[in-house]
Amino acid sequence: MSSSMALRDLQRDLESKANDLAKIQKDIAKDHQLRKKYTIQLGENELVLKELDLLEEEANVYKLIGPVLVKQDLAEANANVRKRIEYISAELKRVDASIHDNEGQQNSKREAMMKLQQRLQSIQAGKAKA
Amino acid sequence: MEPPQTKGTVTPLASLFSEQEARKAASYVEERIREKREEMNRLQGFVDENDNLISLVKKLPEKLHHNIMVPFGKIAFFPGRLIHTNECLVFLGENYYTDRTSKQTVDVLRRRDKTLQSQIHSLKAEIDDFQTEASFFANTASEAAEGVLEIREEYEEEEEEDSGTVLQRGVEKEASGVTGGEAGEGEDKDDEFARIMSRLNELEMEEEQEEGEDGDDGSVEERELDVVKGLGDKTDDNGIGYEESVLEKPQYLQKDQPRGGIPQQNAETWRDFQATSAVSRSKASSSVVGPQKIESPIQKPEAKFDTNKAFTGLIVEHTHNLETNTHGKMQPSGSQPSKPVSRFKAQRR
Repeated sequence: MSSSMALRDLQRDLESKANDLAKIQKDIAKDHQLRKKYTIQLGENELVLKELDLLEEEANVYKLIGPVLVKQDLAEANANVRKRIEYISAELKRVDASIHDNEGQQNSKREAMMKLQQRLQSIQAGKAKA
Repeated sequence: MEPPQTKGTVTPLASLFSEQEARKAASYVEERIREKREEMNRLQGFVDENDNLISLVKKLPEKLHHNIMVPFGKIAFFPGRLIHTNECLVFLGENYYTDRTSKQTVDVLRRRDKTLQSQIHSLKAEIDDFQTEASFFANTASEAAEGVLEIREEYEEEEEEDSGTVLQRGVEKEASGVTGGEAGEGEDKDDEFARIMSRLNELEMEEEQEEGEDGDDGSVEERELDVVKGLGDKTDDNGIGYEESVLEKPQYLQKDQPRGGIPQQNAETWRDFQATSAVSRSKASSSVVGPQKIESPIQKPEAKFDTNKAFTGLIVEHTHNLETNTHGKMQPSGSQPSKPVSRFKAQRR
């Protein structure tokens, strides 16, 4: 009787662990997507910065805000883009760290699950013999 | 397919890697290749568009104005005139625009073309990688289907023969399970290095000896060289046997041979070097003899470490260089998705 209780406990444990694992994996996938997005944005911003650096002082620079082009100072635009690149880089770092974290968690969870499964199987085998 | 003998086992490759698994892996990689190809086609489309745009922007300032049909909504056009043909409003990305002359615009577009080309280049390299990977998988699959055998033989033969009883084998199984696992990854490189070093030393020593016989001045140097020779003789049987059985005389070592014209005045330093290296070499060769043959083209020799064999490495027929190569780079790229290529949003210009 007690063994079947233990078995049920183990199964429940295993289930919750599996849920956790799925959640972590979802997080990782999300982070990967985010990371991809940021990488693309970073590349685009770097291109913009390169072009802005190549412009001469008196060139007209506009920013599209909604439906209108707003004239901007070149220096201002430059500073804005730089700030944006900084921000994106920071975000990238953050996402990378989070991915790393989650992967570590995922591995430990997976190991725990393997152990649980082994125990479950051994118990079941013992039961079948008895 | 002879039955396994007392020392060594013969395992069909198919039992290690089932054909279906290998095929599955191959098709997976093929899928990745297709994705990358699509991506490359897209980029190539951008490049073409960009080229068209460049030629258009170049042509525009040739006239003061162009008579064109102006699109009006989705369906209607009306005749119009393009003026200010030397002024372009260039989209830089991130919602930034700037006024440029045609010439400057062309420069901008050229730079864009460059980034696109570099992206295409990296994509091509990735595709090449995947292709070698795919051909490796396909090869493995066909080898498994053909029934290629994997032959393993004991390294420590004497010990194995001594321990005839089942009990001792059982003990050995445990021991070898542990040591084999360790030896698998870490010592592989060291062994390789030791092997190459010992071979180099051998070659150098041979040259040294020849030189000593040539320069027959009866000087002190000659005696020193004799010492070296003695050292060489001592280790030679070890070294040669090792060379014949293990090393298949790789080409890259051969080219070190002519390097020999060692000046006589250097002989002393050489001798010192060799005296030390001879020791390390004998050590190396004795520790290396058995297992080294045998860079296996299949991925995981570790997979079989739990059998009752000492770590021996694998001998597999039908091996190609290509496969060993792909083996190296396959693991990382297979398990880990390639980084997203940041792509330039050329369609937004």
